[in-house]
Amino acid sequence: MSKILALAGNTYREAIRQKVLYSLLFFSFVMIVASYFLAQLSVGGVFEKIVKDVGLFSVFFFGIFISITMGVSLVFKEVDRRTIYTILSKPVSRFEFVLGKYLGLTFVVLIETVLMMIAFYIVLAFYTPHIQWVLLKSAYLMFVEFCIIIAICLVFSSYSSSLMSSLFAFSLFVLGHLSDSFAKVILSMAKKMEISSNMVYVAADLVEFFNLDMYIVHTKIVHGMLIPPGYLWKATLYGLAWIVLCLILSMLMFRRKDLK
Amino acid sequence: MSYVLEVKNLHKTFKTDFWKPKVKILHDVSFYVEENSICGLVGPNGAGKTTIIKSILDFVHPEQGTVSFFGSSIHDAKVKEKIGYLPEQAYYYEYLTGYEFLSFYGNLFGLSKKEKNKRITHLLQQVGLSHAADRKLRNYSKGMLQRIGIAQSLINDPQFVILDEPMTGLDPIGRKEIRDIIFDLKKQGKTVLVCSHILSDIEYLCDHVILIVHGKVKAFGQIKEVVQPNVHRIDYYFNALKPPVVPKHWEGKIEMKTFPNKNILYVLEPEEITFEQVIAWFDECDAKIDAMVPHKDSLEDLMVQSLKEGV
Repeated sequence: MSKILALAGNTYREAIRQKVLYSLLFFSFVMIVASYFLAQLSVGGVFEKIVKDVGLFSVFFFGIFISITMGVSLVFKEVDRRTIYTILSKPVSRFEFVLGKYLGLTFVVLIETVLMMIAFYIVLAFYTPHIQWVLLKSAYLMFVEFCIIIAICLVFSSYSSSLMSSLFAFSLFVLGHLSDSFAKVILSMAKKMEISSNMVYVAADLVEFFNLDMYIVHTKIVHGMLIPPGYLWKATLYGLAWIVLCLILSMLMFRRKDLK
Repeated sequence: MSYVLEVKNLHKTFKTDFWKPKVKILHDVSFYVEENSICGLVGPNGAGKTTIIKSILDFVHPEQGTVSFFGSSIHDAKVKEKIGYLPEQAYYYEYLTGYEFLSFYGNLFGLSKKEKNKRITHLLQQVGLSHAADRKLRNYSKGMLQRIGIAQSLINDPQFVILDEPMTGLDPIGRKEIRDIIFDLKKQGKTVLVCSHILSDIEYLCDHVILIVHGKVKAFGQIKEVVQPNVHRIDYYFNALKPPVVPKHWEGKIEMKTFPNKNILYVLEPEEITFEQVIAWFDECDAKIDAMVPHKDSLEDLMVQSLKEGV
């Protein structure tokens, strides 16, 4: 475990010493603060809702952006720069390496989410003196999605370049948020083409199964809708299943990879 | 004799392009490294030296062959605890300071804080980087990076050290210091495998040599066995009052060059024209010998010859 923590610590240190992370954090703060001024322009007494909506969207947008941009280079960069040789020549297995890298970036994204939420609550405090803890549920679910996205990036980063991995990971991110619609498109196309094979239904079910939209609850919360009891648990377990699957996949692929 | 590393019948192919067939990089490579020796892995660029190292350290997976360290597989975690490795032209974590860099690798071995600090202080001193311990690696020169790389390979006080091109990027003083470190390692009872194409360093450093040409082991053994100490030419520097006349039966076996202040006789077949015969001839010509320089076969000659032969 100490080796995994050492690798995670190094990944964390690498990330926090990159100027690009601070630039992204800066822009996220700018966007969160901008929500305050955006709300001023609105009419109908919906200031608070606008701040919450725009603020939480900013947290989500920058969280995903950081997860994808840093996630896709997690393994690839180590191989490309040949730093991996010094690590794998030590008593570190490829499994430990992948897990260490994953945990390190997850911790970076956690810190970044916490910082953005603090900025968000400060801006919100200008409209309401009460701290609305319920919004933390939304932040938590976003963080679970960030963890899933990092795990997906890791799968692609294990065998392809950062650019290709970004494209694949972003495509899956879009698919995950539009899975319902994609499933409907598959079914309607099959109907039009008069294909009645069971495979069509299996494909539609599979697409529908990869559902990332369940992690976007801030719109519901902002509009006062209740999150059903047990929803967080269900979303966490569902997310964990995807994370474990992705980690196993990336380890299997990375295990047989020739590090030329 | 116990072997620290034993490689048997290693075969490796790579795909250089998706559409092209696989290229054979290693052909039936077998060798061993004896305990407490310095072994050189030499060959021209692209011969397969680094692929051999990557194969034995399990970075790439050979199609055939076996590799054992201390009689065990590399997959045995305890084996890696006894090995140190310096890769060729690695880019280290430039955002770390020299101290943090070594500390990170120390953590991978699970060293205690006290032990780790002791090792780091010693290693920084050994590679001459104590003054730069708190400087980020991005501010290190090429030579300093090579030294910190060597330091990381020794963080676990390994019994077997594999150094891939350790002299690259170093000035003559730096090269001497690295040579001294390698000799020190041997004195401490450790075993070193040095991969290099700087043949003079290998000849000077190593007890054993493995010559790789086109992915095959062309020669393997003790340096003095591999590089036969045959004298293939002797140069005699001499002074003579009048131009000497070369005996007819020496024609084709010697060459002679005359300069205003000196003359040089190149004996191209020293087995046939002995030292005594040359001295007798100098006496006949009233010539006075100034110096004699024998030319022996070197590792470079062997490598060039192997390349010409195409193995």
